[in-house]
Amino acid sequence: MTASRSKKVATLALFLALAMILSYVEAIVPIPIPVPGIKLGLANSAVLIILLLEKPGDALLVSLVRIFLSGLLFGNAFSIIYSLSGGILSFVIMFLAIKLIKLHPVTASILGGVFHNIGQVIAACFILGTKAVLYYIPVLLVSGIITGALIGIISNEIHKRIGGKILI
Amino acid sequence: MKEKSRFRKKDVIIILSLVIFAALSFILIYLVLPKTGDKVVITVNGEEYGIYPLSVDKEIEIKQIDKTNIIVIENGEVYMKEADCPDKLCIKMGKKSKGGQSIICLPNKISAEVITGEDKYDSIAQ
Repeated sequence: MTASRSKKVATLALFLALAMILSYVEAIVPIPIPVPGIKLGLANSAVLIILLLEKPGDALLVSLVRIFLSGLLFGNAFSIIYSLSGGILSFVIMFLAIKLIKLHPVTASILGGVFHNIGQVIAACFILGTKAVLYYIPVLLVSGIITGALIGIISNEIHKRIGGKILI
Repeated sequence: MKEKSRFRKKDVIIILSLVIFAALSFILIYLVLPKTGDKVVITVNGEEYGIYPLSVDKEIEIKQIDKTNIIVIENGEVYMKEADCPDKLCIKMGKKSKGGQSIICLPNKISAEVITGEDKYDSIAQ
């Protein structure tokens, strides 16, 4: 099923708006664990749903635009670099997991969560010029698995219930 | 219609191996490896700012153009006392004293890593 061009623009804009609201909600909710880079990754559910609708190009587009816009609104140049390295790595891994290895959406999301954090740690190593950041890898692995599983379950359920009605 | 995605054996294998890997790294890095450290390496903006012994109490004020952090070494432990970054995560990280532990202030691009004597040559080689 393919939608008309204007319908596609409207649907993607809706997903982008949703992703941005979710990034904003995350930015104002404090996380009690004092480790840089831990977050729920709610905005990733919008990207994952588009990916599950088999529109990887559109998913990547929404992800990148979301990172730039929310970075400009709620962050700075460096938070954009962190989000980009995490976002691109996690997107590539989730895309390969779903398309190539044909993994379950929840498994793909867990891999996405873990690699998002790994991407951010690599970026932090370069920006801070130190390997001291590696000390936080285990916490970030665990948090990536947990948040990835949550986001995966949410996205999968949404996709199962209303996926057929979303036309992109 | 496309084939419905099911939870298969390979999903279980991947998730299990991730969980095991995470648990092992957790145990290894936080419980097994840490030995009492004796120096703190402070890096600011990608460059080494200084190496300080943990045995000498000291207050280190790091000023960058519009940012200030105060790192304190006290009773063999190091902590971030003050920081004008927005999230204050570095302050919440608390006191560190074991080799490999670190305090990171991402917004102000500062890190303080505790090292043990054996790590000394590592940091020189870098």
